[in-house]
Amino acid sequence: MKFIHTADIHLGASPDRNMPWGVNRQKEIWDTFKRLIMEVKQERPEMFFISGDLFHRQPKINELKEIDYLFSTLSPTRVLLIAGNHDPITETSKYKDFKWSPNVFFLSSDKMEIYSFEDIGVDVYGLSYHDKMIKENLYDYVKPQNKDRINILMAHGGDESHIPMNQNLILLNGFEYVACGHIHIPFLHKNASFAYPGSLEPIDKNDKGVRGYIYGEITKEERFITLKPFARRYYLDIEVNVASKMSCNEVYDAIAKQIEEQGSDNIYHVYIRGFRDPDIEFNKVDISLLGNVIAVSDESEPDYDFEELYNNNKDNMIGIYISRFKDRSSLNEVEKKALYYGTKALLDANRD
Amino acid sequence: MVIKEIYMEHFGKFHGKKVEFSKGTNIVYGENEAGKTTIHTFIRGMLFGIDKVRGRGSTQDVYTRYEPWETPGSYSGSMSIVQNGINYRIERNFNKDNKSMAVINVDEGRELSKEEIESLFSGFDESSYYNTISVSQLGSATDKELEIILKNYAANLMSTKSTELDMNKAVETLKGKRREIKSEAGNDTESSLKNSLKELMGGIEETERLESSLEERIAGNKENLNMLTKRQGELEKKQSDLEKEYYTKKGKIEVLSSTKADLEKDIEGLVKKDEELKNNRLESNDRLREAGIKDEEDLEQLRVTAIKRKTSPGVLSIIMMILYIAVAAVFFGAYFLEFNIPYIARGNVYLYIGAVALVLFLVFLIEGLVAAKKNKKKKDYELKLHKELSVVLEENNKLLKTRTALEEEIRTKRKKLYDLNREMMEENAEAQSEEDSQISDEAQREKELKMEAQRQEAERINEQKRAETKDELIKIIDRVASLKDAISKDEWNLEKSKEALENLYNERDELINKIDAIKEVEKEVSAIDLAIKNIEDIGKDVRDSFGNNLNDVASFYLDKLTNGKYNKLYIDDKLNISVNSPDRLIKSSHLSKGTLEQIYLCLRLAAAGVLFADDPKPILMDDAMAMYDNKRMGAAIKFMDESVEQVIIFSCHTREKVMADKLGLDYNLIRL
Repeated sequence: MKFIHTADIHLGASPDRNMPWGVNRQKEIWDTFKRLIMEVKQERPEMFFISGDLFHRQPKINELKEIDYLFSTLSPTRVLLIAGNHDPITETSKYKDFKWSPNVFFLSSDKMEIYSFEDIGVDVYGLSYHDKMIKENLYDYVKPQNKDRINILMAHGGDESHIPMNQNLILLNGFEYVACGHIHIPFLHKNASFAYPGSLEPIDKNDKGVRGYIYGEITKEERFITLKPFARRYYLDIEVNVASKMSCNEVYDAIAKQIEEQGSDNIYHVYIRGFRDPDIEFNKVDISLLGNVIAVSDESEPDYDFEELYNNNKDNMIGIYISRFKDRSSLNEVEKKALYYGTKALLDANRD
Repeated sequence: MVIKEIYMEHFGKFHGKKVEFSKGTNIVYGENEAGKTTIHTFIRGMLFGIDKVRGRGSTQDVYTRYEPWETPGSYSGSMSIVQNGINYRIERNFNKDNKSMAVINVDEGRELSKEEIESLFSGFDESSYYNTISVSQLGSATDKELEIILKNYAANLMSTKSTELDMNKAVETLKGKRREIKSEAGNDTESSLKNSLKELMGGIEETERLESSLEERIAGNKENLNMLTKRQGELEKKQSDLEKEYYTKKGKIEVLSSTKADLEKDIEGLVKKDEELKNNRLESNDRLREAGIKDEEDLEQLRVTAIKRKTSPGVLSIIMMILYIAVAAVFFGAYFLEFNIPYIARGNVYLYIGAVALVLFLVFLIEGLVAAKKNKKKKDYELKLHKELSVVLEENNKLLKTRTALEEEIRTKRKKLYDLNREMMEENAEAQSEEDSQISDEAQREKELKMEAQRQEAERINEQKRAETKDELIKIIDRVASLKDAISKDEWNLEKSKEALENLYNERDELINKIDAIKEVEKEVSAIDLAIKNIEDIGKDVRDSFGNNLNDVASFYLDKLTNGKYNKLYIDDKLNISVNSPDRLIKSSHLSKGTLEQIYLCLRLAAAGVLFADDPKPILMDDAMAMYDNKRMGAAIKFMDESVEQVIIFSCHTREKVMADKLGLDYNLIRL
């Protein structure tokens, strides 16, 4: 049985909306989902699982119509959908009483349901959120009823306020595949029976790394799953190591080069590490102009040889100042910075 | 540093004047206006330069005062000093248009570089000069003022050490950086942002609660709406049933009534007709009786009779006629045609027989005809009669039939009427007891009245029910409308609050980002503050140590100067001065002016000593001891001669000279 598994699409989210790349991000998320639909149309898997949080907030009725239309074009692929904690089926939700196309199966009950597909020998187990939080571990003790079928459990959750999951227990219950959702970081268990595809597009600057959907093939005997990168852009970390001989612009160029190498569409958190020329300071605003930079962490230290400085200035303010921070290794961040600031200020004052 | 000589090329009133100084005590004696202050100023100018002040006071400043009015273009001089065993000559041109300064290493015969000059004069600037080595008298200040002067002096001393400069500059730089970082961060602090976040979270919670209570209310209202709508449907159906009933009944009753009216009319008409027919029948019966016809048999008889009449000559007649005509024909024929008839001779017989035959024929013919005609007449008459009578009979029979049918119809209609009445009574929901259809008119009337009453009662009940139903319906429709209104209002508010929540969530995320950024900034600011604090602490330490040092040295001097009268000088951190005599501690407020002056001198010398520990500077006393009594003055001169490398005393009195002689000091006298 061929399938495609995705979750946490968060249609309607608008991350980084005050950033230059954030202007279109909301539309990008929609576009990526449409691209995925095209992909599913091409692959023609038997089933397409969407394990919750399709929407970032309650869907509007016209949005549901659009989605249903897209789903209907996938026929005969069956679309399996559950509601997550971001788009629960509340009393006023437009999900309630919405009529889906014939190839769409919405496991909308708040109790575990089983949908059987006899023609392909697959049973799908799942339930939907009717509220923002569910603290009960509803998945830990569910066992497949018909061992002859390929049994799939759709599970949205995994933390204490959203259906806590004991992975080990669930793995023992005998499902051929557990299609999870809720956690934005992809995780594919090594025996391919349990996986989070992660968010389809990263929604938050902490969703670092590659994002996409899971493609899988299962039979009763064997399983194969793989994560296919698919998002328009990723959040990535860039590290630049500086040396004191490097000028400011040199460092900026290094950053720009790395950004280009890893893809200028992506969004970066720049980390500057190492020992820099004590006279230069990196301007975070300038760095953020080098690309899509969401954050800059300057962890570099000014390249002072404090031993030498101390020895050369024992009898004046500088020496006295340095000696006050004698135990350099056990300094916390603020103390370290104070040492640099004071030394630089005194050296500069002395110079004039 | 020891000043060896000065050469005032063009300075004040001096042109090309040389003055030599020696180590130890130098006394420059001259009357007022002799030039003592000029020399003093010159030395200072050589050390630190003289700048023309701009703006106000520019006519009174030092530069202008000592600018030689004879040679304004030339304003210069030189000073030879010895420092650390090396001979230097300082050359300066004070003229503002071609100001210059050079320091020449006389021993090596070369000019010093800027850095070398800096290091030569390191730590020695104008303010330290004023505070230490340039001693002028405290003047005629009162005790109180003196004390203040001392305090100020002490305070000034504290900021004299040149490391202060480095420190202050560094602290200023750091404070500037701090301002820069803070201005980038804006007005937020971590705590203010966290408070904002708390408020925001509160707002979010509230909005979420509002949202869920709205959702609950909407759901509840929708349920109620369902129930009410159902009830409304029920009522509407009931209402339409009642109306149908009402109108149907009414209609039915009307229909029944009109049917009944029609029926009654019919029956009346029929009865009337029946009467007519009966009369007609009687008439025709008479007629028939007249004709002797009782029934159809008789009538048939008549017809038969009629028909039997011969309307044409009978067979016999015809035969006779034919015979006679034939005879006639034969005989005439035989006569005229001249042929013979057997047995009869020819002649006129023939004619006569023929004629007779012919006459006979004619007779028979006429008879036949006449009889026939008679018969025909009779026949016609009888046939006519027959026809008439048969019509009458037919009619009679018809009448009978018709009457029978009519009577049947009347009977049927009467039954229908009976049924109708029954139905009408049933419509008024009254059980009908068995009645036969032959009810009398009276009973009928009674029944009808009863029915009418019942009908009206039923109508009243129906109307009442309808009114009740309508009322309830109106109430329900009202409630339905207001529920729908409430629901749609709530739904609109729910939309709004969802939108608001969206925005709040976004704001929250932005705030969290800001808080993270601020944390970084605050770390930087903490670091800078820590640096500043440390630098200032060091400064304090230095000052303290300097202070302590100063206290010690000053005490030492004071002890020496007062010959042990006061052996300790205290300056606390509030700059209060007190001295220690062997038996007690005396605050400066209790000391005499003279003692205070001595303390002042000791402090200055001690300060000079501490500040310039590595390179002692000459002490310049500009009429400083004018207020001293002789004893004190003597002690001071002696003390300084012993303690200081070079002293230059400017005085307009001979006292100092005399005292120096008296003390037997080896001094250099310069007379102006």
